[in-house]
Amino acid sequence: MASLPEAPTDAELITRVLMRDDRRAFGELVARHQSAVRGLLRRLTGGDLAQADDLAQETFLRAYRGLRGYRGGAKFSSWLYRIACNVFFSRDRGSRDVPPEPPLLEAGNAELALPDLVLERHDLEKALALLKPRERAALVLTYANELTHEEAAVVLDCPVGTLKTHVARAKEKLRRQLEEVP
Amino acid sequence: MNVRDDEAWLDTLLQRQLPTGPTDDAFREQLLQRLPPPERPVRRVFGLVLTWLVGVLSLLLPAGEGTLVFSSDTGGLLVPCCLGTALIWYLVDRLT
Repeated sequence: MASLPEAPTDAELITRVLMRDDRRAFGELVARHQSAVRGLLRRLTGGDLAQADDLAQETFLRAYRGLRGYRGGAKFSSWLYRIACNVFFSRDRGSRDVPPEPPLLEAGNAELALPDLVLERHDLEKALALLKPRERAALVLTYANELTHEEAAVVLDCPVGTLKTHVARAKEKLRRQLEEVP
Repeated sequence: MNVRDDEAWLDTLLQRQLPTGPTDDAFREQLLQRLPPPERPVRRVFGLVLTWLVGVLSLLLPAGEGTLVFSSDTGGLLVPCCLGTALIWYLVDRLT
């Protein structure tokens, strides 16, 4: 029985983009990684869907333009996370004067989930929005995106010890924030 | 709260499904439309060579009495030559 052709690896797709400017191959890379990148940015932006998707588009555009700079040493997803975090940090620096605004609960979303889960999520996003950007990124990368401390340190371009400090501080602040919620 | 509970608590909170935005396909289509236009280096080189050929041929056209335009009336052909060059470049970029 003939077996199905194997799906090309990320490295093969990247080669196609670089050699032939194959946009279909780039579209396939986007399809594979967009959920993780968009999820990361949604958590970093405190659940602001529009801003997160805007940053995700910017992330992939930068990735396309800088694809020759990807050396293949780290996983492609880690390289994308690094770009996403840099895009987020630079946007965050640009809007530092504006305090982070937690997203409003939407009636449409509330109908889809149990009320306590929605409230819990809202509290979490509110608490995440109060963390420093690097602490938030460290926590989200290690817990939500399930990177190891070493991988997350590479993404955030800092020593592993610093990364662990960010995570520990973020957890402590988050716990305190959520305990204050009545 | 011990360390194990602490980890489970964070895992549960952070891995909860987020509200959905535009579909994956819509996001990807929008992104692909925003990519810079292809550079098409081969076609650009072809256009450049064609431009040179037309330019050279225009200058070598006979101007009557056996003389070449190049030697007698080059200035008079300058404008149509430039217009022709611009038209070729426009067509190459527009049609490819």
